[in-house]
Amino acid sequence: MSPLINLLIKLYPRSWRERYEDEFRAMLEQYQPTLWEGLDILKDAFDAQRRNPMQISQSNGRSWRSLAFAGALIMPVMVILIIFVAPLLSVEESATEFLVLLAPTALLPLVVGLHRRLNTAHPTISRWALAAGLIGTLAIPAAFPLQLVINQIAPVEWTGFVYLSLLAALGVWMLLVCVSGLLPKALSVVGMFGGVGWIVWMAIISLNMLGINATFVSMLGLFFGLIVVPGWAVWAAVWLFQQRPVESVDAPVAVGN
Amino acid sequence: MTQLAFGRYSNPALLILASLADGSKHGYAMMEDIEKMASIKLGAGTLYGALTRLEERGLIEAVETEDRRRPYRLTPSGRIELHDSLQSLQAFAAVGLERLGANP
Repeated sequence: MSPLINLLIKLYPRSWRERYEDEFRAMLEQYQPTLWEGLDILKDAFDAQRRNPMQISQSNGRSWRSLAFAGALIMPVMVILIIFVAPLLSVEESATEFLVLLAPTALLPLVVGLHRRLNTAHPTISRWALAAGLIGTLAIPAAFPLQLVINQIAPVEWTGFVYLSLLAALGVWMLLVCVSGLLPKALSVVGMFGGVGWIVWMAIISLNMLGINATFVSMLGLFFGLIVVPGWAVWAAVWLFQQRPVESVDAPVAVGN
Repeated sequence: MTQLAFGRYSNPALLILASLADGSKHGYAMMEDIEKMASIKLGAGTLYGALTRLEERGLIEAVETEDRRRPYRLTPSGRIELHDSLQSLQAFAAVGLERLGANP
């Protein structure tokens, strides 16, 4: 069996693989799957992730919801404090950069929200953690230019390769959220566009704008940094906050037409 | 009889139930049978996506076997569901043919 098919099978939820993987592999070994088959398996793997049963009791849901709500409120404040206050507190330039590097760690809730086991056992906290992480992605690009103005920090200090790489990780987070199957299709498509654009923008800056028109780079930054990414984050956060705990998300099978 | 391939407009769940109507089959046998019966090539992902849901709904069940290729069969409720669906399609086809002015 090709390594690609092996990889695609790994995308199914663990519970599905425990039940069906062996017979699924046995079937695929009987013929040569085409590229179209690969896409079909990829699509069904995401469908399986989406319909993975998520059980939660109402009482547990409320307590988790409160905790997640507190996290969603505290997290953006923490992000902004790190971005604004850290440069003021530090004396040496290296210390400034080190502290500022902590900012993206505020996106930890995104990782929590994407955690498969938590998503299965506690979908409410998973959704709220995702929402908190998304607000973080909004807070960082929004606070970043403001900080430059208010703190009068020279831009060159903020464009180190490591820091840009960490900022590019925001784009990776967005892509992870989009393929997690938790968001509706339209949000996923826009998020993927924003995530890729954000990564490309960071890559262009980190290459020190070799031969690229500065106006173009600025416009690209304005478009993705101030419109697409924050807009997507607000949209996704609003959608996630509107979700309620569910007993089961099993989709019915329509047999007849 | 002319066989039409309805592609993405076909219903994998119904095709699987119809394939299992004459006895248990494993995944690859179902794929081949459906292609022969309806000229539709179901992808492995689509087949197992529908199989998973049909089993969750209790319309089909796995047959115990030592073979890695696990066969499936219709449950009594799956047989009823298939019968109802086919009758519904038959009624729909009759209306369509009548409107075309052909004999049902």
